[in-house]
Amino acid sequence: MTIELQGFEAIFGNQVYGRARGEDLVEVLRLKRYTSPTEDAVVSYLQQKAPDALAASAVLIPGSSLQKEKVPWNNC
Amino acid sequence: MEQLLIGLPDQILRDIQKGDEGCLKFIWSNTPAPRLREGETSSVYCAVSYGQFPIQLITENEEKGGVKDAGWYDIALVHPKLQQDGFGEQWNFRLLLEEGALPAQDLIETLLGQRVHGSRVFDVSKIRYPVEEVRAVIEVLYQGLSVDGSVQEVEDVSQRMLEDAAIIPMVAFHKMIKEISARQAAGGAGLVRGIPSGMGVPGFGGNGGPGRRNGGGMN
Repeated sequence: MTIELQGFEAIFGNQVYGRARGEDLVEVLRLKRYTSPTEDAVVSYLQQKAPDALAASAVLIPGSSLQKEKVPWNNC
Repeated sequence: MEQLLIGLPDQILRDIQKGDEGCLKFIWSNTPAPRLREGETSSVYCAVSYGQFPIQLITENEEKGGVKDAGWYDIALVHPKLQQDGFGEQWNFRLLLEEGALPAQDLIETLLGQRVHGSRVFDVSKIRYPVEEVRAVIEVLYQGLSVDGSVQEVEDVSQRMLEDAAIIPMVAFHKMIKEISARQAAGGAGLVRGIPSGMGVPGFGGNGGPGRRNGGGMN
């Protein structure tokens, strides 16, 4: 279903709508819907991505690791 | 995002993966994402960004094949040069969805009448916003989304918002690594104890603070 906004033309349906304002201007509405990210969601997302990054870094960036003792949270 | 992650030292990636407490604290202190209280659920929003562009700009970009999807408008709305010239995004607002539905329109009308710019259910990016312009768009929006289920048809950008929120701690990790390397190169300033101060991205530090809008709140 494509949302219709009265007076606006769907440029990209359900995303971007526009209408002329005078001869030279276009008014644009950008519609979005989102769940606000939370701390836990950010951590989960990074934990989900980390294994792939580890695998890739082993190939692409050999020797880039900091030694464990140089990571600040291990020196508290 | 992938490149930022791959560029991190393996030790940090492993600490992220296993949920090392210090590492998690670093992430928490460098993300704009709020911490939920017990029993609290994530807020879901419907957001609208209002912008103006010269017709010529859009026509030229369309002719060059640059306007392939909504992403072009996302970039154009916040483009510094366009904003400098008075174009691009003028304001944006977001409405808190309750069980997938827009808040009662009369409530929003009341808030508009009181020129409220920041409330739990409705907030506008500008403190002094053009009430009549915003009201007109809200009326169009409510009319357009009055059909059952239509709110769910609005593009869901949650994943992008999550990635944006995750990039900030990644940038902070890289900054921290750079600082450590600089200290080491400067002659062994010794091990860094605790998380170095000033590691956070300005404006985004702190745990559990209120969620902040990002580049118009919807990028």
